[in-house]
Amino acid sequence: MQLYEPSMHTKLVNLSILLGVPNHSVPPVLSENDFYLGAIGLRIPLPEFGSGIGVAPDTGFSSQINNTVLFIECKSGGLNTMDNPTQLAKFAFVQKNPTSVVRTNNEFNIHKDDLQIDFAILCSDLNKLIRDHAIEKIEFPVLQYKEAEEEIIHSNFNGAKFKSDKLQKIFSSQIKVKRLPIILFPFGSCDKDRNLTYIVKNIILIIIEENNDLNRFERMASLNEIVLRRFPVLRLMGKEEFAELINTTEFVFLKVFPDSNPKSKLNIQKYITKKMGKVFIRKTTISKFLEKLENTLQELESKMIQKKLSDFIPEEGIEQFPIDIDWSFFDEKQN
Amino acid sequence: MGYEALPRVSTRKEMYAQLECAISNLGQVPLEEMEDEDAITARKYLKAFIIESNSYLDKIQMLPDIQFESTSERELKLMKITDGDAISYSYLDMLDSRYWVLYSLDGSTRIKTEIIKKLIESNNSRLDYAWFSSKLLGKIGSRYPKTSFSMRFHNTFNNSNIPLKKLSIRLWAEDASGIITNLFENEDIGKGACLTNIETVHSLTQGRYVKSRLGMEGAINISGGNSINDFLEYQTEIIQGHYKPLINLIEETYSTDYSITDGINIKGQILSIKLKEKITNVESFSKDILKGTKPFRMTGFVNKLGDNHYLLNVLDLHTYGHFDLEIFEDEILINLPKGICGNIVTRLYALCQARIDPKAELMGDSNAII
Repeated sequence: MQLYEPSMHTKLVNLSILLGVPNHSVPPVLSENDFYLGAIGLRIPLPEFGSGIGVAPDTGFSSQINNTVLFIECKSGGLNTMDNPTQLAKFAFVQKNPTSVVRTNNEFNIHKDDLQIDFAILCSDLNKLIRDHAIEKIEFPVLQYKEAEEEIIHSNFNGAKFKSDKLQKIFSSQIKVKRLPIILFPFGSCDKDRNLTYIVKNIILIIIEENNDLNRFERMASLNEIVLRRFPVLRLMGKEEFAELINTTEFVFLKVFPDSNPKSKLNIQKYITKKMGKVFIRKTTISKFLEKLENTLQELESKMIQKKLSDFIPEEGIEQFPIDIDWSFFDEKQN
Repeated sequence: MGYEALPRVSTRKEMYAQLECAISNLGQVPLEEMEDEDAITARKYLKAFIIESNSYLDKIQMLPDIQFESTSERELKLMKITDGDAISYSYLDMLDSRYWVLYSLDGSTRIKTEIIKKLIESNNSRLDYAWFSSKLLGKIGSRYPKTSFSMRFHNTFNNSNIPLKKLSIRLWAEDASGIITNLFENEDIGKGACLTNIETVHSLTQGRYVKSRLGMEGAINISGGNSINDFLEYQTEIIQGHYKPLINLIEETYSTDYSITDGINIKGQILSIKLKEKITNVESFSKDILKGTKPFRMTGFVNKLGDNHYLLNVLDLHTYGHFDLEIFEDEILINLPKGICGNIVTRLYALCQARIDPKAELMGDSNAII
């Protein structure tokens, strides 16, 4: 069994999603008021700031009736005030220029006439935002998730209000959060650096699932495709960051599986069978194989002092595979 | 004297004629009134097993002692079972390609334990039982006079919030509806009151009827009657009227699909099994259900998120479908990705009622979906 502590950012993203979808844990105050979840990490290009520059707020909700869009940006830490232009400046631009949202291939079902756009920041550490506010004025409403108190409140430290009266009313009173499930988005880009075991074991499950459906002449999809299928949110990260993740995952595979590493403690021969050149996990030992795999991965991870993903990569004698990644999923990292 | 064996048939019409003979020849003395043990053992009951299939027949893993023979109808096969020198036939009706029905007169132990169990319960068989929760059995049974029922609860995970370790009741009555209600509402027994089969009488026309018992795993035992039409009507209601729409609802509305445009869009909703009584040891429960053993048939990984809070990455051993469960002490959330067989949900729910909390409810966005 693995201890898995999702990042506060992932928790906040889940929390904001649950405000806009029916569920039994978080009051869906947005969907109850006609604001439905439209997109997560919607990339809004902003050619006005230069090519390849845009902004991607964490969650977006829209109300067709009110022709209003609400974007929520989740902040577990502070703002990055070093970028030029800053994220806040981009948000302000989008708010004043609603066509930038309409021109995305979004599912908000909105029209450009009288379109109202609201931004809010959902944070877990209000003090950091208060400090940032002294550097760059935050002109958007700030919602604070108080995990210990199990509630969301609209903080008034900056005096910012929603443009939409309806949204202002929705967030005017405290929202009790009985519990915070993460099952809709259990893993985000902020979780990847310290959860290799989680990534690899989930990839193995996908490989078992997909291998099972392949016919005789089909071959397994590439690793990057499998990873993206299991963790769609990783499509929102930058090219280089994703390549690093894939390389690291392959490195772990090389370490764990004895075909490449004779010293591996995972005696995979006990659990596999080969038919027509393809490898299958034996049906009768699948649970034992998964248990052993998890133990091996945890042992490997515990021995590595990892500060970031690339710490795994440079090791002598281990050649990295050239990987085939379909880069069409990725644009330049935009925020 | 009963009807001894199902003969070979080549058409559906012939099959129905033989099934009606099998029903009519069961004998008129109800089982509960029979005293001769030999006669009870010798009596051959017609059984219909609902099998949920994700595979074509020619792709399923065969057993050495069975063979499938063709008939003149593509969706009807004869299952030839060899037991030493003895040969028997059962009929496999695949009119609905997802929900097959196997009719058999063979002894319960032989057909259920030695044939169906082996066909279904091997890993990646792509076959499963149709799982009827206590609540669904109650709902189906509510439309008919009930002549008998069974309640069975096994507190498998030693949940101390439920004072019963085991409960097993089998009861016959002219009409058992009131008794069932009383047991559900009983302060002590009610906590373990889980219907595991229910016997009803179905009759469309006077003098014509069928008496049959539907079990939690989708087996229907026919214990009396004279009308195949009544039986088919009842069976159609069970499968097409209740089970199939439930699975469709799960797979279409309560499965999630993460599509990518300029951002990520989530379609579908998560399901929740709400428990009335809290699980006292969430960790051992999480580990136990992923052991890869029957009846849960799930394996995978347990991730501890916090106190009494776990995220399970699950591989359903029935189809090797991959999905997640999030477990709290009073709730199990299910994130079923689009394309994964929804039968895992009915299995999990029926077993939750039979082994954790009979009052568990399967919830959609705001209401119970059964």
